[in-house]
Amino acid sequence: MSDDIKQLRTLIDTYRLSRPVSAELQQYVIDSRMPDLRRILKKSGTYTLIAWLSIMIFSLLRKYGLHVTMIQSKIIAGLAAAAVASGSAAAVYGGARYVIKVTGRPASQVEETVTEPETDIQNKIEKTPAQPDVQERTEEKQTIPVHKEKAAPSGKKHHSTDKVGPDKKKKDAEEDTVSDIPTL
Amino acid sequence: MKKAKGPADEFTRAYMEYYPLLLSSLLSRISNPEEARDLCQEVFIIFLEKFHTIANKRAWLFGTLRNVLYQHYARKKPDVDIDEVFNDEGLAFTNGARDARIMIAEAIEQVECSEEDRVLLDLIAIHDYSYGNVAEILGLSRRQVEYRYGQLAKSILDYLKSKGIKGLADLL
Repeated sequence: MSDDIKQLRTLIDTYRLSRPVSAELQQYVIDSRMPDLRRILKKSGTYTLIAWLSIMIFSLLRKYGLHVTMIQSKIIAGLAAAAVASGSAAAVYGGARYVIKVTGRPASQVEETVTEPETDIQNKIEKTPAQPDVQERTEEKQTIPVHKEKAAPSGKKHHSTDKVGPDKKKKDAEEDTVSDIPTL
Repeated sequence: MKKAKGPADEFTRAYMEYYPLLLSSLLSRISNPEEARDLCQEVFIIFLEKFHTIANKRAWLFGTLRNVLYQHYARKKPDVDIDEVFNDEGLAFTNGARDARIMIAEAIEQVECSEEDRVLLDLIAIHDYSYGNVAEILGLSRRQVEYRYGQLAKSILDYLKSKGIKGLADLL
């Protein structure tokens, strides 16, 4: 603190020129300034949202040490309001467009979404053809002939097996080595 | 009620500067802060209505404040002498230095400065505000407030010296 300030303080205190306000009341004054301005403007009928926005910008900038005039703060408030309005309009337009796109979609498009699983099924079917082959192979194994027919001797007429006698059949079975029946 | 269309911006600027000063002045005279706020609002509503006709805002505001306070005391405390509430010089008789007191008060009033500096001086010198609170009120940095107040103190002391008070120890 400089000597001038000290001397002035001593003079003021000595001659009781001061009317000190406590630190709590100082903060009370600062805190009540903006709400009271709002009340005064409302009572006098000059309160509008844009006016209040410009006042808020004015006080906010001053609080951070930026000296602006009320005209400048009004311009800033106007630009901010225009930016907010254009932004919200763009958002509303985009939202409305999306809603129209979703609700106004034709029914066939809905069917298209339903057919998608069918194509998947088809693809699955196409991808799994290996199982029937295995089955066929097992069937083929099962149909291996038990009896092997002998080639008919040349010059002799071929007779059907049904007409051959039982002795002959037994003899042929003993001679035939290929059989499924396991021998003990 | 007649609307004040044109001077709303100037009113806001003046309000931001003078409101702390007027409310502090009221708070030093009225113990109830809510009552002080109501009276301060009353002064500024009249101020807004007559804004375009007012030349000296500071003088007008303190003059109206006195009238509003007078009406307040007349309603609530009729036995209180309003002149005693405002007549600060009356206190000087108690310490027997009335002339010196008037001279110092005159030096503070006569110092040439802007309206903003006048508010700064009154808040710090008279109402004992901290530099930080004044910086917040006026939208300045703490260092700016301290520098400006130092300059104003120097101007006041120079004024006193120009009036023939060579040594301040004479006053002290």
